[in-house]
Amino acid sequence: MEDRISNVKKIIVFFVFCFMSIITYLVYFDLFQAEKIKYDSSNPRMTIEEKTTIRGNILDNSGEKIVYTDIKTKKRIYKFNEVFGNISGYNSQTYGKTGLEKYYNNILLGNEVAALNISVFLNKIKDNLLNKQKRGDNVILTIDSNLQKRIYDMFGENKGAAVCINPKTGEILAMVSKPSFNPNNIDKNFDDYSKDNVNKPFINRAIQEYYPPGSVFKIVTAAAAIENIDDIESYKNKCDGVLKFGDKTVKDYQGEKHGDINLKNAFKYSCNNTFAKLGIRLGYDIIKKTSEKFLFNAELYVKDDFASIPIKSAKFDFDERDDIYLATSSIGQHEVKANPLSMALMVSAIANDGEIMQPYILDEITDYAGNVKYKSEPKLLKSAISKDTANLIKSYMIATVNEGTAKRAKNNKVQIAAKTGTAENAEGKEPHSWFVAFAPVDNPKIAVAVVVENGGAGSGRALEIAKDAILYYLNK
Amino acid sequence: MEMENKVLKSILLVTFLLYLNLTFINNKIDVLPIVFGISSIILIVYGNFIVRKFYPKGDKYLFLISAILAQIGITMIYRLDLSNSNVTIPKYALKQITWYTVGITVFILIIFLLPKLTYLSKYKYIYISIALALLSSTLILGKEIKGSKNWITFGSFSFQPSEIAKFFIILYFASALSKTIDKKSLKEITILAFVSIALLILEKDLGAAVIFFGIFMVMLFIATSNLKYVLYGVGSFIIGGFVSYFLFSHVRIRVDIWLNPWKYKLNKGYQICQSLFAIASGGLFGRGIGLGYPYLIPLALNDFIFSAIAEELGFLGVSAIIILYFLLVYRGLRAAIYAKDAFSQLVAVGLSSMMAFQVFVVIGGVTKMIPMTGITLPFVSYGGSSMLLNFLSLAVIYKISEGR
Repeated sequence: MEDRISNVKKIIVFFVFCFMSIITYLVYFDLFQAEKIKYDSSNPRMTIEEKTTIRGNILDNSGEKIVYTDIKTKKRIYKFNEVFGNISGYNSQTYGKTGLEKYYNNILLGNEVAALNISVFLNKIKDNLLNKQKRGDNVILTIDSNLQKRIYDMFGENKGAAVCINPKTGEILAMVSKPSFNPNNIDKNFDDYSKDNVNKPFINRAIQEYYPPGSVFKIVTAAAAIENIDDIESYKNKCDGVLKFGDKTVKDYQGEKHGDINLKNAFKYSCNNTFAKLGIRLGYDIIKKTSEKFLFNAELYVKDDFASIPIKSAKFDFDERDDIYLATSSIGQHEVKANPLSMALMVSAIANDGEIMQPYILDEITDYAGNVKYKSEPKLLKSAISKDTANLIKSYMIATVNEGTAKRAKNNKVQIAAKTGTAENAEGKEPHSWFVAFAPVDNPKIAVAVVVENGGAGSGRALEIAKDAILYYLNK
Repeated sequence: MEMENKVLKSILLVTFLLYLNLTFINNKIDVLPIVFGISSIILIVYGNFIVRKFYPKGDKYLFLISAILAQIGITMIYRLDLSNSNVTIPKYALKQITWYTVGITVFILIIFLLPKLTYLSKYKYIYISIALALLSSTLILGKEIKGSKNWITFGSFSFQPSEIAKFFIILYFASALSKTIDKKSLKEITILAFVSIALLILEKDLGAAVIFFGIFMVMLFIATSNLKYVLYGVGSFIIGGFVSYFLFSHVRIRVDIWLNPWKYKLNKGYQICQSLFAIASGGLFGRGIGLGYPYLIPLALNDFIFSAIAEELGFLGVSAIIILYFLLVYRGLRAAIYAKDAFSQLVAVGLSSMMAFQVFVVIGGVTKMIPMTGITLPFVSYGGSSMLLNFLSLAVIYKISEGR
């Protein structure tokens, strides 16, 4: 009998363990799985909520409406038509959601529990008591809609993309991709858009596309040289035009010969001969390592506390080790790939004393009455290079504008620092033109990266767009 | 005594608040829930009074814990009725409260009528015959409902024989194991236990199979104090599990759904996915009674009532329920400690562990902690036969708790 009583006690302990394990599992479930499951698209609760909630608006940083819900018709209006197509994405019953409509869906439906303040809380109680229809929260972007529209219009008929960021904070000021699509007509035109393999309007070229960066990549090669060659100040190259590798050659624009040339001049004249030789001298590993300081080959996101929007990071990663490939990749050809956002981050490191800030697009969340529920804070993403290196390259970029290949960007209103780029692509077509810049040089407020597909050699169209954007942004 | 009164008062308060909440949820004030609430309160007070007045020696907490569990169930069923907007009378809640009343009556009657429990220890072969007859009856007469062939239907009335068989098998184990156990009798018990479990697996009633096995192991351990038997048992159960996984497609399906329900979310895994959606939407505090969408869960009244409660009362609410179940099981096992004789003791252990395993299998199943098997949650789920059986078991435990 005594034996049995002690056995019963053991059984009690066993059941304590069983029941505790359920509670522990539920804690685990609620902490780590519930979020994902709750917002699964096949959860019928989501559809019900969407129907009964007035979706929040997407505004630019001055409060200008970019996307809003018409209270009467319940229709989603995209005020700027194509201009924000690739940023806002679309919200369609038939075709689902993309872009910020997808990434910030929970905020727009009012489901994110952002830090509560008292007025938000009181407002919510009031609405519950009055049994009002639920309204989602508004998303306020870091984007300047005037700048965005200006750049979009400047592209004209050209294809390409541009990104402007504030190098000191990482705020994305504009992100243009062209051709774009009109989210207002998505239900009507979806098939045309998705079948259009020439214009690819659904691709956000600023973050999802790859272009060879061309001479813009010389910023990386220059940084590698400065940080790895001891007597770089006294370095001199004799540029005699063509560089031969078996039957392949690397030559300068129109076969120009620069003669005896130092790093600064090689940079401002964008001397391929010099940078190709530097690349071979430094070797694959050093160039790769330096490119990775500028977030090449990295896992990159436009990121805040609520969403991580993936960016295709620039790539410097290949297997060939022959000199020809090293030479061509040191000037941003061969297998090197980039897009405007990754290049804007690279140039913002030069502008911001070598530090790259986490890029973000969500500035604030407010409830429908305008009470602030959340405000983003700038975060350091990576200390890329030393302040000295950054300032040296900055002086090269200023020289490029004042005396070098970017002379057309020179103006008497603001000192710009820049680098031009020409990226050869398919045979027989005009090369892509690249332009990266920041301004004003002593207190940078905007960093820009523009690529214009088939925009011609020597930055051509890209330079004009970037210059216009900088002047427009700083002069208003 | 004073403690009991405190517990009783808080149970009544919670019951009243639950029904009060129901009066407001349809955007208009509805008096009917208040009527339900007052009836329930009278029922609990009166039941408790009778039990305390005439049979004061037993463990009154058994009745009180079952009362609050049943009330949570009825209010949830009521709430689910209300989401069906074209019905004015809460059909299922009305039926459930009726069953609850009948259950209390049965509880009191059994306490009154049950002879000394030791008299019952003599009929072990009768028990096992009834149990095996019930279990095999479904193979011949059974109807396939919800993918298991474990229901028998008479006209509009349907019941699961395995629910009743559970009761008899516990009586069999108790009477067989309360005698001196030698090798021969142990062999006999083991064979009969595994025959009944095998029958359940054939009928695709996997949940009941697990519960039978659990009860058998616990009772065997109590009677023999020999952990080796339990290890053998668990070992052979695991092997049996593997064999049936490869042998029976219905076992395989259950396990596959458990491993990745999202792959089958539109067909075989629909139920469990909907259940997980509900629990996930509930989060820590739940959405509040009337503010969630528990009616989207299939079988929300029966097997998935736990998920419905999790959606509206949240993790805190369901943790409270889990703790209540543990207390109930604990009071049952406590009765076993104070039992007069080995037979009563084994019966109390058997019945308590039956409840414990049932709760574990149901809750673990609907939360995807373990593979899902369709079973009802004791006292909470909608259903007459399970309510009656639970009160029957409770009455027997109560009787045992009267002690030496």
